[in-house]
Amino acid sequence: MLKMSQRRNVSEMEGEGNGEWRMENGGLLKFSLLAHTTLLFYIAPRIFMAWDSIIGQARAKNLLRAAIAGGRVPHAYLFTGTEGVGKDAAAIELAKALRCEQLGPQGTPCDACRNCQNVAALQHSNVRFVFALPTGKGEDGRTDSPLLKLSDGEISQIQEQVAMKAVNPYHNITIPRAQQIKISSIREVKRDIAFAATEPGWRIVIISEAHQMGEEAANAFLKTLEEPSPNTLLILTSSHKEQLLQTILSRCQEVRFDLLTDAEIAEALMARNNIPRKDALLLSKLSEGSYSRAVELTNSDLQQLRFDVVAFLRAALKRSPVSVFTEVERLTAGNDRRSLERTLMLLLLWFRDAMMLRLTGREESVVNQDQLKDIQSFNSKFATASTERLIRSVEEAIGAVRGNAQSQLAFIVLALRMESICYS
Amino acid sequence: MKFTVPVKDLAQALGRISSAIPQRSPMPVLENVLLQLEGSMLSLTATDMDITMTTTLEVRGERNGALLLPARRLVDTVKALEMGEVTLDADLNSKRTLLNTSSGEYRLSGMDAAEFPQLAAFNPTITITLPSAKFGGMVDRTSFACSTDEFRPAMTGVLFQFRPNEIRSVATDGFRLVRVIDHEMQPQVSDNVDVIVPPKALQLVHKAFGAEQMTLEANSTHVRFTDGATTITARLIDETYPNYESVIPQANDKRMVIRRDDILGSVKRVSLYSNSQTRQVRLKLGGNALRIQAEDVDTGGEAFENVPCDYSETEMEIGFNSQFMREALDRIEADEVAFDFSTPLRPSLISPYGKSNGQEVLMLLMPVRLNS
Repeated sequence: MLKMSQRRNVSEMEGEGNGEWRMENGGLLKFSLLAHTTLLFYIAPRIFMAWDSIIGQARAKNLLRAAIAGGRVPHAYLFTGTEGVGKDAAAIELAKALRCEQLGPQGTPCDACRNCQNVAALQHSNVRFVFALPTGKGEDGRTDSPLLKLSDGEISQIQEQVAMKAVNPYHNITIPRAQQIKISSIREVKRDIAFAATEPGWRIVIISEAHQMGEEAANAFLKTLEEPSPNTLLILTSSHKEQLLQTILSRCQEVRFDLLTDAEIAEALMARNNIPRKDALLLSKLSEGSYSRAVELTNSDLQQLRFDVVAFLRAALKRSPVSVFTEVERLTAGNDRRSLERTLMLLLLWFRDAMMLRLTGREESVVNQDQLKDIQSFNSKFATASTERLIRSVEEAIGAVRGNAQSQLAFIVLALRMESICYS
Repeated sequence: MKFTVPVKDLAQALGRISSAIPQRSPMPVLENVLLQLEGSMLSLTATDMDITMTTTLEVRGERNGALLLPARRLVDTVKALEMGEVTLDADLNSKRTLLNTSSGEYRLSGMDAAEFPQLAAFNPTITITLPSAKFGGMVDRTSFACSTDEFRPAMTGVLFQFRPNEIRSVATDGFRLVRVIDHEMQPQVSDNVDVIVPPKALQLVHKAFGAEQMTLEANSTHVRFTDGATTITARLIDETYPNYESVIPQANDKRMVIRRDDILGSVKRVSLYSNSQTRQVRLKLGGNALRIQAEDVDTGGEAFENVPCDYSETEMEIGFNSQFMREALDRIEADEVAFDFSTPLRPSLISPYGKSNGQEVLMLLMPVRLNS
């Protein structure tokens, strides 16, 4: 996403058309003027329609489509599964199907009618999308509406995030200081459901990452779950089902979303994000079955990191404490746990390549194709070193980083272990 | 779209609808005002998805069209403009809009009118014409007693019951209840129609409407109020209202008649010494006298007043939340009020005493339990 704040540029763009530019490849550059900022979104050419826009998840999709087609939609769904596998995307698609004016066979929304478009844009009056919000200064959770006390800056951040979610349902809404789904948001939902629907027909409430409801909010929501209103569907999505109240779990029909296969992710990356095949394969291996994590990785400095990892391994195997320390310092400079984990995942992938090559001898099984030579020379030099033990030691380091261990220490321990495994 | 209009007219029209513009919304499009020009008629619309307000005004139109303009900026600008005339000239392709006055020029960018939420078609099942002031009085007398508890959504609104020869409005929060029956406004409906209207819509009606007559239209999902140029359309609360008649006691046989100003003044003064949490005041009745007293053990404050009244039943003591008493008494227009008691733990009724102006007002108040 590009962000532009210069008014001058905005007015120049306005001369071009109606808030959007059609690109040569069929993509769309959309810009929206908000109170404080101007946003630009690039929408890849839309070749993914309706349910096809959800990657994989054949089982869940079939289940939902059958429910729509058979008119057997329950009053509440709970979509569970890891972050970034398409729970929110499926919830939005389901809402579209229920609102669509020209529903195709097997519950396929048309994607063209006003209802479909408004739902997709998260701007439909009968479809409410609820997510965690920050708490404003001096906010009274009992009486104030959830957005009332937030600053203008926070409001435009929220609007921006909603707009991004509308463009890409796999987008993970991230708002600073937003840790909880506020009780006032749940109150607003209750109030909204008590009111007559703005438009006739289905009313859908999507509670994204429902485990972020605080205990108070969750208990307030229970009443809504217990007394379903006709023509109202509640869809809860959660990547941490274990954090939900038992009482909420028991009142929803659960739909499990599986981890995506490497092939599904790689294909999606190539088709949706224009990522070349070899990069897509690498990213899919690192994504742990989550498409949005894979996309997140595309924005990181992955290439550089891959070489840094090899440098770290080299330093460890050189048995030179000084160079180990230099490499460790470089790798842990950011000290952001997420990226440290990622670094270790890359190392893991590298050893996996070494192991695959050793066992199968097939060069095409190697993900780090550009480092094939390095891998081959490692295998010949340390032919007796157990790759399984190496992999286990990296996994332990990942566990340590996740468990909030001192990161430099974790890397140094890892370096020493790798050294002793290779030279044993 | 292009038109010219006196600044005063435009400012007034924007002022009328500005209360419907949401202060904070996750939908940026709602932070806009929809301007639609057809001939010499300009209509302005704002909505927060619950309540939609539209007002029209006469302008010197030059070029028809429709456009969304950022509400806050537009309202602030027009409010601050010098008196005189303003010309609004909008290029509907680029959405660039110019406000021209004799001394200056203001540029702002708008959005496509098609992005504004469309209101579903409204087909009223009843249409009633009402005198605004009377209806306003009815609203004022009931809406204060609405509940704010989302767990009982029906009670967060005011119930209006339209009967062939009367209109009733009812509000309750479980601690008090108000029922106003108006026999003069004849809705002339063939069937009984009940609607629960959110108090915010009623407040807007009260604030924005000035004409003598207004129109009320309703169906099962929406209600629309029209006052000449302005319409307010609101979503109804789609719940079943509790059977309020069953809680109104029929056999409260201990009546006290008292001058309204006397008791209201006393309650106001004495309640200053009541506990700030419970706001409890104690009423001691007997021998044509009322003693109102309050004490706050926390601060050691204590106060009482004696008020003459008309009460010849057996002596009794009863406690009330003074704030509820004040709010009820404040809204009774009569020189004298009648209190009808039963026992200290059963609901009491307050009503105006003497001639009524075609409206029958009844306020029910739950007592609070006295400790000694």
